Amino acid sequence: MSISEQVTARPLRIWGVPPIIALCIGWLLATIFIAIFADLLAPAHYTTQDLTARFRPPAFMTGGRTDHLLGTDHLGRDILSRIIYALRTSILIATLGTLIGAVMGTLIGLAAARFRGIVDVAAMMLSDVQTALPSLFVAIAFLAFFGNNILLFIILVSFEGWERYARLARGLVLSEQAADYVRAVEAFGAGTGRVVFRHLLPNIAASLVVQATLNFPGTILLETSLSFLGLGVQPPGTSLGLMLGEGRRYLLNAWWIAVLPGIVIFLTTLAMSLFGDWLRDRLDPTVDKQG
Amino acid sequence: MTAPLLSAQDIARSYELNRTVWGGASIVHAVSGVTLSVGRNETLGIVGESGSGKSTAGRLLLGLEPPTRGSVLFDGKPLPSIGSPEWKRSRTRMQMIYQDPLAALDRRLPISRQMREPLDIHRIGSPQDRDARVSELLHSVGLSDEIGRRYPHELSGGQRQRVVLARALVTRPNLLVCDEPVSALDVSIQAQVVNLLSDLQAELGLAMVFISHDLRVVRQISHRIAVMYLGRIVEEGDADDLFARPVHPYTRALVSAAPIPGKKLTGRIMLQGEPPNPANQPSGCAFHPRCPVAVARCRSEMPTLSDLGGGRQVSCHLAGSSPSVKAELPSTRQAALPNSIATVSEGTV
Amino acid sequence: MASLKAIGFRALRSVVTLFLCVTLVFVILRAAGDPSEELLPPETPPDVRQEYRVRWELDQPIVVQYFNFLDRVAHGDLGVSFASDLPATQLIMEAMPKTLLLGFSALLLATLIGMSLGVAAALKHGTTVDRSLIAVAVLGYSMPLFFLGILLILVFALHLRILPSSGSSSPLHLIMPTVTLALPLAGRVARFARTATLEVMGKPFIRTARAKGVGQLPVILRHALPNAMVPLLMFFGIEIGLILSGAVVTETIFAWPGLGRLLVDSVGMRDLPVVQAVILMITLIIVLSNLFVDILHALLDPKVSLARTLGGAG
Repeated sequence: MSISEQVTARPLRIWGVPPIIALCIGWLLATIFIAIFADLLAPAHYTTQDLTARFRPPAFMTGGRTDHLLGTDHLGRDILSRIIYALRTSILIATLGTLIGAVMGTLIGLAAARFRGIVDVAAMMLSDVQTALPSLFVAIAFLAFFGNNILLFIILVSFEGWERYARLARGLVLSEQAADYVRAVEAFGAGTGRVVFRHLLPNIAASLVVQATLNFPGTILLETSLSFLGLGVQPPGTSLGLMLGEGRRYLLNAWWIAVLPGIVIFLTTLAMSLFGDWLRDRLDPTVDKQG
Repeated sequence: MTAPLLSAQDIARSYELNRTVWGGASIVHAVSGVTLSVGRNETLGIVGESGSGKSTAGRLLLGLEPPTRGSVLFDGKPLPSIGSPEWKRSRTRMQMIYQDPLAALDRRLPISRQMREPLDIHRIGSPQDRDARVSELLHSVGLSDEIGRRYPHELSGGQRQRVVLARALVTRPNLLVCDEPVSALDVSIQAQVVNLLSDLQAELGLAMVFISHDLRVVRQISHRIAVMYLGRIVEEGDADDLFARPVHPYTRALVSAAPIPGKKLTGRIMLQGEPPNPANQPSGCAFHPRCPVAVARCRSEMPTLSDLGGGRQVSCHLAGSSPSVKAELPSTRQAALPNSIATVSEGTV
Repeated sequence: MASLKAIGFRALRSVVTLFLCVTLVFVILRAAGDPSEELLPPETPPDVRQEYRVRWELDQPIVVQYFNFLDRVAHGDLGVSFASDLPATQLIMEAMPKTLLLGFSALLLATLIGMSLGVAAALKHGTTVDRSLIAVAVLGYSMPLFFLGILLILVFALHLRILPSSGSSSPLHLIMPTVTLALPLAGRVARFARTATLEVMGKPFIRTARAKGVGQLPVILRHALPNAMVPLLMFFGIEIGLILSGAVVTETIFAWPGLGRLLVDSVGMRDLPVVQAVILMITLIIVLSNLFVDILHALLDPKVSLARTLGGAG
């Protein structure tokens, strides 16, 4: 049982959902909203420097002022604005990465289940390699050798967890295609395309979506970790991980530069984890719990 | 007499199981040499227990699996190879209905969509034509148009099976193979569906193959019956005649276990031993380990189908001899082991 | 015996995986272009360049390079660092014990915390205690490592000043990195332990024991724990990749001189042979530990068969 199920011991629900999960969904929607409307919401552009206003603390601390609600960094850049833009970058990359990874993984799993034989063996070997080389290391290796490039970066981020989609899709398709309704449609003369896209995929889609929500936190963490290490999003671009990395040096005197973005990352991954767990418990207990 | 619509000549089907890198697979002979034919407007019943190969035979007859040996002729022509465009086109002429109607339908799609699908696949008629045909077929199986808008789980078992039947008929096939179509239904519904099948056959001139473990049901609808055991036909003949005068010991056991209304259940023949295992077939006559009247010859020599006249064929060393065979058959052997079972069990191969 | 075949097959699979990873690393390295262009300063005269190309075998056909690469790797020659001119293998051997120390400490800590949390939560299933413990676990594994590390440094090193924040020269130095690495892992262990304990608690033999009047905890310990060993081992096998990934970030934050920091530093300096070497070493560690776990599993669990191995992890 997830934490959300515990809470429903008392039947308090907001829009049919336990309050904590409602909070999570609210936060996630807020992040999406911020990501879309970043330009409108941010008080300043994320690169705007004001060297006369360096290291201003956030407004809720002494010395803070309301024109920089969350303070400024070592270059006088407004932290709030930078967080807003950084959030947009991280969400975008994580979403794209998840989508690509999900599609890639599902196709591989589908192919393995549908064509069996050598394709299945190849898929298994690929997923073994992925297990042996966690996505962080693969990403570091590629980024070290090929240098940084936003497209490459997104693709590398999408490597996180693809094998879980593949394994899931493969297992589900194997069992579904043995079912009578699939055999019946094949007996009617349907081609592989129709069988896969009109029958198999719709029936396994729910599980795949749940897996995506479970994988999403990992994807965000991969992106932010790489950016933190200086290997991901590069200046002048900004990402939550990058802000943390930059802020590390000023921890003693201006902790807010690093901590505030960190809180945002934490809340987002937390919200997604809770939501994903709850979704899985509700929709489909067959999805891998370790995932 | 017109040529049969479907004719299978000595077909066989084997599978390899447990193939490992180290070699050493075991071979399962699901079907080992079956010769059958079905005419238009005729129903052939295939009876057998689990492991008899009846379901595999059904799939072979439809061309859903390739035979390891032998050939199947449909309307005088051999079946096209599976997956080829001719094979796909041939699907409109021959179809199958299944045991579990809920499993045979996609739970996420409305009924009418699924019934339309064969027409969509083969691009028959315009979309309006197809919808009209769906409606026509729903009516012909006794369902209303409203059913078409529902989803499979909203229907009862009987309704679902009618939908499966309607879907199979939507392309106006000449041949319908029914694999245990009523086994998953309540007894009261079974009769309805069987009657429906019977009516539809008469109306549409279908050739039908009705596969079941339940001899009573098969008898109701079939003109001729073939009894299968471990991949072979052990007896074949006119349905009523076979029921009234079974010759093969296995058939006799099956018949004796099927109560006839108005007749007392006497002389029930109990079979000893286990249900047959297609991966491990006995020598000689496959039935000899469980046969109440087996003799030495049965252990060493495989019998062949011989014609007993009147359309009856039997595969037994002791058949064709005098009626004394019947006298010897064991009402006397009832004292068999208490846990011997008349194993007309369910399930399909 | 069936499990012997399973072990043999698994070992073969590990070798194939290792081989594929090594090939992948080679492909990345060479596909990135001619290193001599990248690494030597632009004003290097052409004959010096050529000398470097010969030294790194860049003038040979790619297939020859590949087999030479395989050959060297098999013999433990992982190249020479551009930055320090030391053999990469030596640098790795210096860094590895540190990472192993950190890893094992974290594993130990995480297991202790996680198992206690998880089992306790399961025993108090459905109560506030259960819910709170689950909440803690979720917080744990949702927490980004680098954020946790920074918070710990902020509190304990900068403000409270009781723990050192970088280096590895004393046992005190080990504390914060271990806690950082352990916490998310502990969260996952707790979740796993709770699920496993709940499953066992529902089993008939537990109910029988309880009906006999034996308390819950002794029963769990005597019966559940041995049965949980095998899944726990498999769990760790899966987690080893995550632990090593976490080590990269943790070592960077705390300047802990292990493989992770070596990797990140080398990337920063474009010291490609060392990057390559560390990646290969990581692969080796993970593959070996997975194999070890699988063998242990096959030996301990009588139900493991070849068929399951084939169908299982693919």
